[in-house]
Amino acid sequence: MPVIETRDLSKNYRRIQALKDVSLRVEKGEIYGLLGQNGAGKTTLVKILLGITRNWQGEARLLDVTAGRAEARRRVGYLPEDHRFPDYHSAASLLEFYGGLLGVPRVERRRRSPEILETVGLRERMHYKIRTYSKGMKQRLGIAQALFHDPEVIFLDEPTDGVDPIGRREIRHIMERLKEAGKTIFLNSHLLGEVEKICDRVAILQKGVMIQEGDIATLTEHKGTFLIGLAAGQMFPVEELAKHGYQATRRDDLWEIAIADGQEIDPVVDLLRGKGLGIRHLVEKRQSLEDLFLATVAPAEPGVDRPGKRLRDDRIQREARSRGIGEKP
Amino acid sequence: MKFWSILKDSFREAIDCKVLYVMAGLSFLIILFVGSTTFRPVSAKETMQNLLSGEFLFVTRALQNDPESKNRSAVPPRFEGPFRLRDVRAAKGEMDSPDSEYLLIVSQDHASAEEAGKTRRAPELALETLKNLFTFAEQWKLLHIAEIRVLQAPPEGIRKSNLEPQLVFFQIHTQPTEATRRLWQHEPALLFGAVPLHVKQPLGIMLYVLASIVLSIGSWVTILVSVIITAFFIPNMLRKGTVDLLLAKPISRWSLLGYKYLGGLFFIFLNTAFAVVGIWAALGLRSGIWANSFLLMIFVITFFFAILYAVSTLFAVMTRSAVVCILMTCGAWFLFFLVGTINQVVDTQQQKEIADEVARHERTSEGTFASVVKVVHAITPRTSDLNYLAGKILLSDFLTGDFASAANLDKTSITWESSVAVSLAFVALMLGLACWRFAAKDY
Repeated sequence: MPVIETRDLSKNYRRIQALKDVSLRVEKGEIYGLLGQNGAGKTTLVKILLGITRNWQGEARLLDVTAGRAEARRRVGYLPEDHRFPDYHSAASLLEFYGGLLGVPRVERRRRSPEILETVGLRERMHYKIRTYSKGMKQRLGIAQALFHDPEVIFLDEPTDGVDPIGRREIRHIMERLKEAGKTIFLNSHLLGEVEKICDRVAILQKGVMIQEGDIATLTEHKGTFLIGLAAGQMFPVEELAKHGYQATRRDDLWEIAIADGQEIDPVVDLLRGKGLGIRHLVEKRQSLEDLFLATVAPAEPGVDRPGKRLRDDRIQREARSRGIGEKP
Repeated sequence: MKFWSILKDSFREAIDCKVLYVMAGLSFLIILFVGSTTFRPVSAKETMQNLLSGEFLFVTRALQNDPESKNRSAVPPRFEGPFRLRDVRAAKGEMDSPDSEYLLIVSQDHASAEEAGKTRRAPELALETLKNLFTFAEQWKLLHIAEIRVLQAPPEGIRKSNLEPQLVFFQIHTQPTEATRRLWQHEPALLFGAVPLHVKQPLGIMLYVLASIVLSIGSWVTILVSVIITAFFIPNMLRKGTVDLLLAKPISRWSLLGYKYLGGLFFIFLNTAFAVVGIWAALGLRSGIWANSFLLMIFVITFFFAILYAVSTLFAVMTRSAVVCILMTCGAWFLFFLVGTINQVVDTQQQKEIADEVARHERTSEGTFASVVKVVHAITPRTSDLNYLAGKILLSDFLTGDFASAANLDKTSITWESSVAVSLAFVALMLGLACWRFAAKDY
């Protein structure tokens, strides 16, 4: 039974269609990443599931109950994007407050508070006012409050926003531990490298429509393209391969072979071996999640973070460069 | 658990505003000022003379609001004519203390010694007359008359010049009531007696004036500051990034807003309770009068604020702007005051025209404007009426110690029931609209 399930989920804010027929399914124990540009509908989807946004169409279920119901919210942790904690609280009193709203017994609250703050590295500052915290500390506190009541599902919207690289790694480790503990994590993030490292499956939203969904390995696979490297000083038989219908293109020290439909890489390998050439490198070319994202998502519409001309030029150049890099063995 | 969590959160938020400490400090200064006021009772003879000569009557008249009852209020027969108060002696307790029992020595002048002798032998008529003279004192619970008896011989200690044979002496044994101390004349002084005020007034009057001034200024300042401070509570809660965290918790939106509203009320309740209890204790310790109904002011002021805070809550949900909340709440406050005041003017005019038997079609109090005022007044919270009723409680409790009976003298149409009911309905309407909007809104 899925932990999160939506079917044909749509949401309109007056004339703006924030979500259009989005269907997804997240299983227990998964880390599911939701990608998309700003305004793509990622946060709206999470807010619908948590009952923060209402009046949607379609079907949305969380923990086997209709999205937004209090009984589901009791079993869910949430870190919103751009969260603002009441700064008159300290980390300890904030957890005490939220714990009370979540129905965590007082004794349990007092026991868990230092524990969870220790986990996110805030225990020493737990009695300081939040207004004295740095952005990274607030983000850690956000994660602490999301995990405080030991929820089954955790929604994290940009959890590493404002966190330094070491902090990011710690947060990643926390997520990995949660996954090991059987928790389900629903992750919204722009940091595609992070998502790629941690998520089992991702979906890409564009203008409220889901345009891609699948596991990371499948999505980043670059089918039909291989990179081959020969021993030093050996010539690559480009013309001979062309005669057999294989197109070879030089990529720095390697050669990229594009395999057409119905073709296999094995005849290429046989030909190279047959000519006595030493194969030192052979991998199927993969693309990074960022490559996939940039290739999949069209530039945003005006009013929805449309990139400026310089940014578009940078993107084109980056795409061009990425053709020769970004491969994974 | 959720309620207490939000209550604690509201309290924490209020404490975070340093204004709370300033308010507590101001309250403490007011309490100190009240506590530094001393009241010295004047002599028992002077007070008894004033009591018996009807000097206190303006006090009882003040409790009556309609002209008809003022005219009707029985003016007691003044203690004059053949009777004269000759001496006052303590029967039990200290002399000149309002709480002591006294023996009043009264003389009745006769035309001749023979007539005086007749009265001594058959004093029933004189006793009846004296008893009638003291009826009002018992009626208003000024004194309890334990015994009136004729003295066959002049009591000791009476000056020789008063020992004329045509005088008959009576002894009236009085016991103090709850009102005795209130109507006993006192001389006040400020700052622990350092600044004497050189006036002599019944203690209750002075306490009423002092309490009214302190409460009026104090409650006005407290409510205004509270309106400003609490105006930030709900907009802060509804900020993007804050509200999401709360709405994701397993608590209904109605409960969340309702609890937050109660949290704001709790803030002013604590503040008011501290100030009112402090003033009440200071007044009680200084005067010996424990006007318990004064403590009702905690609830009256809190209820007054509850009306305004309901307006603030509605606009907070609609606009999420603290500035708008403050402006709209102050506007509503002024509007309620205006409606209440105009209605009182119309009401008074109507009573006057009825008393003057003005023909119905000629009455200005029953024209279109007056009708509009009455309709608007009927549906708006009765803040002015609450002020009036609170003042009446104070007056009656400080003066008679029995505000319930004093309240019965009031013939105006203003009642606690209607004022509270209409105001509560208004609060419910405002909160209902706010909750409905909050529940339906996407965040």
